Amino acid sequence: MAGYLLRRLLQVLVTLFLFVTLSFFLIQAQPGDYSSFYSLNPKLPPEVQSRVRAQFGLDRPLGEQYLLHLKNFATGNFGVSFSHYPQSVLEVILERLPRTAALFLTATVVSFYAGFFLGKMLAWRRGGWVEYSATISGVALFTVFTPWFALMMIWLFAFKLGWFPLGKFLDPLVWRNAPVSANQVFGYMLFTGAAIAVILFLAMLLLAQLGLRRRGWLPAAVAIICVASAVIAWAGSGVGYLALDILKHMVLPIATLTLISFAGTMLLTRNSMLETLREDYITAARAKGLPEKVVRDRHAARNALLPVVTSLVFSLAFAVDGGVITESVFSWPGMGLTLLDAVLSEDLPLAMGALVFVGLLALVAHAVADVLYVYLDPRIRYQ
Amino acid sequence: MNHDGRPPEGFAPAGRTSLWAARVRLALRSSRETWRAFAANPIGVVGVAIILIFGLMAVAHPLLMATLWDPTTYDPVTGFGFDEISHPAPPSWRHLLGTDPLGRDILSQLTASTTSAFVLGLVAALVTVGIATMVGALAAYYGGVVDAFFMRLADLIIILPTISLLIVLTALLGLNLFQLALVLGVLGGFGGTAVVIKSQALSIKVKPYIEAAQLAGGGPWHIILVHIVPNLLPLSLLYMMFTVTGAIFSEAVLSFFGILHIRMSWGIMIHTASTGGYLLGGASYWWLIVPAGAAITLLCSSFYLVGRALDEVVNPRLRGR
Amino acid sequence: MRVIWLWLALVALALSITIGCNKSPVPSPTGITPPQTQAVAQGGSKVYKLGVFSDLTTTNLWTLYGSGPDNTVWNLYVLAGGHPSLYGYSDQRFDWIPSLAEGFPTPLKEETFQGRTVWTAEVTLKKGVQWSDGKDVTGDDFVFTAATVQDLQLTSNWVSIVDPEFFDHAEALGPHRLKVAFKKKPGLSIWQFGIAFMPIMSKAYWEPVVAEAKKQGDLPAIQKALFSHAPQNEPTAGGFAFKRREKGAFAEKVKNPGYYFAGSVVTEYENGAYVEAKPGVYSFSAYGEPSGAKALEYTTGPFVDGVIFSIYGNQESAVLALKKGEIDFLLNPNGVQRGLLEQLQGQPGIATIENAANSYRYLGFNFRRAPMDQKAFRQAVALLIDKEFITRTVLQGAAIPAYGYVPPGNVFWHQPKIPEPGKDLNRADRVAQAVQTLKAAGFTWETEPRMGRDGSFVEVRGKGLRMPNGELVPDMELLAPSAGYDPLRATFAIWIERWLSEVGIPVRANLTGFNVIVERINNPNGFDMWMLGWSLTNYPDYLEAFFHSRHAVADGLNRGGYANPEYDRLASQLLVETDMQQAKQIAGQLQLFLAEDLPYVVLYTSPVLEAYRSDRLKFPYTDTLDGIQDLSGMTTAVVVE
Repeated sequence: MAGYLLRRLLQVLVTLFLFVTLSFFLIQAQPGDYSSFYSLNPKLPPEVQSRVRAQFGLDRPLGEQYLLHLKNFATGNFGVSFSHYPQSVLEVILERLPRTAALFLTATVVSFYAGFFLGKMLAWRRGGWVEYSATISGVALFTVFTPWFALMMIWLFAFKLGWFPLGKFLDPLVWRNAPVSANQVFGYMLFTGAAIAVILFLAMLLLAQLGLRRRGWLPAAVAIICVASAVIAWAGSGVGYLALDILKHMVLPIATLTLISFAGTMLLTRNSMLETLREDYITAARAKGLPEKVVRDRHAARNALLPVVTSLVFSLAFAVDGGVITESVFSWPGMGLTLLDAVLSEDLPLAMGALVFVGLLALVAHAVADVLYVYLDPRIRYQ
Repeated sequence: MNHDGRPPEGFAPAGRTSLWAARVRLALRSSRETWRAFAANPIGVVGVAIILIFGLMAVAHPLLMATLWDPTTYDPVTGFGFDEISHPAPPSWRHLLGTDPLGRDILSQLTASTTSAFVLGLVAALVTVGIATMVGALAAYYGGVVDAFFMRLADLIIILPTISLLIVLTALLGLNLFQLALVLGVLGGFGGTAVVIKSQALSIKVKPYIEAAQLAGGGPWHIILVHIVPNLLPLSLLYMMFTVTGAIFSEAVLSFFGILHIRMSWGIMIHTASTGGYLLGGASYWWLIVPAGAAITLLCSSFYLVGRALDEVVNPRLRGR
Repeated sequence: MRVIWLWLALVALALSITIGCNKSPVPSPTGITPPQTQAVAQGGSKVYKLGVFSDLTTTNLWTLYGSGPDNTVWNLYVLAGGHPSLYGYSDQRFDWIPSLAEGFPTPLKEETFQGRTVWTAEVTLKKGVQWSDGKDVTGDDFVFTAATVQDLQLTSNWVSIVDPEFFDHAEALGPHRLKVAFKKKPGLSIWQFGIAFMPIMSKAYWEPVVAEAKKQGDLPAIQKALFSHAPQNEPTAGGFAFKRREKGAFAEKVKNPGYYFAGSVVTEYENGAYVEAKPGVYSFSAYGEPSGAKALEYTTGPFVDGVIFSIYGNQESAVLALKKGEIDFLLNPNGVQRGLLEQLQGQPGIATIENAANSYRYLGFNFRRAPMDQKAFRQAVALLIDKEFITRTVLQGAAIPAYGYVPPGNVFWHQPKIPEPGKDLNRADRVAQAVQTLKAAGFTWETEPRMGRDGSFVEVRGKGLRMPNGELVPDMELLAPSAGYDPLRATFAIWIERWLSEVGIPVRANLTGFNVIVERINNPNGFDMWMLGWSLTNYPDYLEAFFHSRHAVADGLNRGGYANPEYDRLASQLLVETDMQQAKQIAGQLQLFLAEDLPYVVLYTSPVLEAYRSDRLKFPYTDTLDGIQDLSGMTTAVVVE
């Protein structure tokens, strides 16, 4: 298992290296060169231009520039943003990151779970009108023209029905006298989510060790305790109403992202389940007279999950793409919107920086999914 | 395998031709069976029907422009509906789907864009399949460093969000329709498709006839081109479908953001409606958004559905995406 | 299955926080006000809610005017009005009127200062104007600001405000008396419309910051240190003080209770007279005898307790927010798009406004290449372009055809006698006149264009057009923004391509990215014709900047290379003219010159369409060049219900 992880880690590192190289070639591939964007941008004061030239070694041979590129990459030096001068690209990105992370981690989790759940159902009721209608509507949502769809969601649920706010991530009237900044609250929220996830994970491991996992109510109780204590902590913190305001603003974008992206997971789960259902041990389980629900959830679904987890990485990339669109429609100033704005305002360093960051995040997620896979796949564990 | 031993140089083409002829016969026979299996799946049939309808639309545009439609009025980019009092005008007999805010006929734009959607999709798909097949075959055949390099590259492309990457690429390079198709094709070819095709190629590589060909002295390129690649083609065809979906969708989104240098496309149609401020019109300006939006969704999903249906027929062992 | 538990737990967390927080306003141990109380506390305060489309990138005015990238209209909307200036523009008419100054300055006088000759003017400041920290606004603040710009060699907008070529020094002759000295005789743009408009910074607040920055050593580092400073509680002399900024979401300003101008009444008479008075504090009158009908009268506020600038990612959701009453007015330099405006028209509680923009889009010619260097050719092109047809018929009034080089909306400076070639001609006459013009200049065709019988289209296209020197007219390229960037200009370009090609002028419209055009026209010999636009200032010294031959260099604004010695002489004169009426005369002549030489074919200007909650807001007036957005939403004059 350790060997496997080590090998995967090495592979991720190779991918990372490729990524850095690719980004270098992207910059080199454009007509003129990157330097001309920096040095000829009339918006940038001349002294900054000369400093930037030195920083990127723009007059030196290609090989040296490449090494410098590697170094800049490693130190997080993505240059100066044109449109936010004198802020550096890194500063701008770090400001936007928590907002994107909060939205997309939740959206990915929700859409993944929804897709998995529906896929399981589909596999069970194969061939009926349920399958056809679910497949067709799933695919239609998967391929629907997202910007328009997102706008229609706002129009219907926020404007006509008035259930949710019209985009944005907070209500200025609620936050006028807030004692903390929104990014701090996002930080606390992310921390809460991560803490609960880790505690639950450890608790489950512990329960499994003790052989108590079969009791359905026990994990549920642990989960409820975890969540309840988090809620109490928030309520007592005095900034709970701010988190609540953010959550209210998250519902609609998350619903939109879920609707446009659950189909991928759903169809994959369905296929994977169908495959699993043909296995001998399922027949054996049925022969034992176990209830269908138990066969489906305990025996089939668990094994069908394997390839689906690998696809989590795909759906993450998809969610980030959906993010560019959803963020611009929902006025959610995260990484996606930053990327788009940077491109529209010709702020190439910021655009490249955002892309590099998005790529890095995806790589990290990839690595995490690998670890998860190890945990799920008995074949690797017992190697 | 009808030719044992390496044929003399002069006869090589003939030998290959007969091999290919046999393959074509086989393919035709199996394609009839495939079609029967495919036709049993209503989802796939619906997909094919939609694609055919769009195909007709694409063919119809130049014909209509040459006969019924006067270019001054109906040109998708420079035309102008002089007969309407104000624009955007609702559907009428002269403009079956109305006009856009700049007075141009929506039906003409819709059909003209169909052609470009097909061109974009097919170019991207052909490039993808061409690259993916070669990469998959090479990686499977050579293994080792070649394999590791291509697979890590594929990993990278899979995890990079395509739209974001394309947005940056357009900023750096300023893409037009054809260049976009090439870029999408290259990304697809070195990305996910290559991985799937490689795994298929691996299973072919261990087939006895490959060993036979190697023993008979077939060089690597001979084996890859003559024995491995042809057997990868059905699967490649399947992945063409998914590439088309991705390509059309990407173009629409990029055009919507107004960062591609294209004169007309479905995405541009929606962009025009959006910059004019008609996106929120709801039912009152439906002809500005619904035709183009529906066209994108329908053509994207039809290729996707055909792909999925093919997936179940051609290769039941494979779990597409 | 365990993984699913994790997901489930996260979802449950989100849900239960929602539920939990809904139910229990738990009294907070930390002493922070719980939400309910807060809502009550805000109930009584009047807030003016504005929608914007981009985040602030700085709250530091040095940076806003000093580092090009931060000079965004979005930053300006928020920071506008916080810093006093000596003079300003009057409402609607753009008369030049005192602001911090008590009256008009003394006439320019030549004198000797430290052995050199300087030109000086003196200004008396209003007494009693205070910063929000309680200190008086004095001549020292002005001297400090101008000296800092000079010392730190600030560039970008600061250079055009405090022109180092002219500005010598300023000195405070007393707390409320100021002398400004220039190295040479300054024109209107340098003095009256230059440094007299300079935003004055609080010396008490900024002096330590500048001193700290100066420790950095070299100039770039000093500038960067100053630009990086994020002001905390910077004193203001305007109606509002900057209070809070939530990155990516909103910015807020709160009422400055000590605003000097609060309660002053502005009256404009139809005969041109201007009166501004605050009973018992000050009164000012100029531009004629205040008598007869009043054109405008209003009282200065602020009448609201705070202003919130809410950021939206796109027009659509901002318009929905306006419809729903989440915001009162949308700040956008381009106004609201026509389609969205149509949806707002007739909505209860919403009023829409239309104003002309102080800008135009034009077709430019590269004078370094034939046949663009031929006046007849340019005139023929101008004749062939049917602006009325495109703007009225194709663009449905989304654009207004334009002819002048100073927009008519800029009443004081516009030359009303400007010729309008081809206006309201039909296609046949246009083609005939263009052919005539070209032939008269020696152009020849192999096949001359011929109109169809009904005269509405060209039946036989022109072919083989040769220049007077016998050479074929080369294939030319018209660089124009793509439909994605600007559908209006793209439409114009496509129609121009069509009309020119019909008569045999071989032009192809290359619709491309904005930055590509800018880069291409930067290379003097790398382009033929291009289509871009200018947003203009009120004082038309751009007539010199766009067309004087000294700017026909790389990075200069005279991209087309237009050079006419006579024009150059007059244009230079405009820059040094110190008398308002004389300057108006010169500007008028310059405009006539351009109409004859046609370095640009001015194509159109776009209207600024705006909408606001008329059930909540009352503006003193809504007719103004560039719309209410240009006044940053009139925060100090608007009345909120």
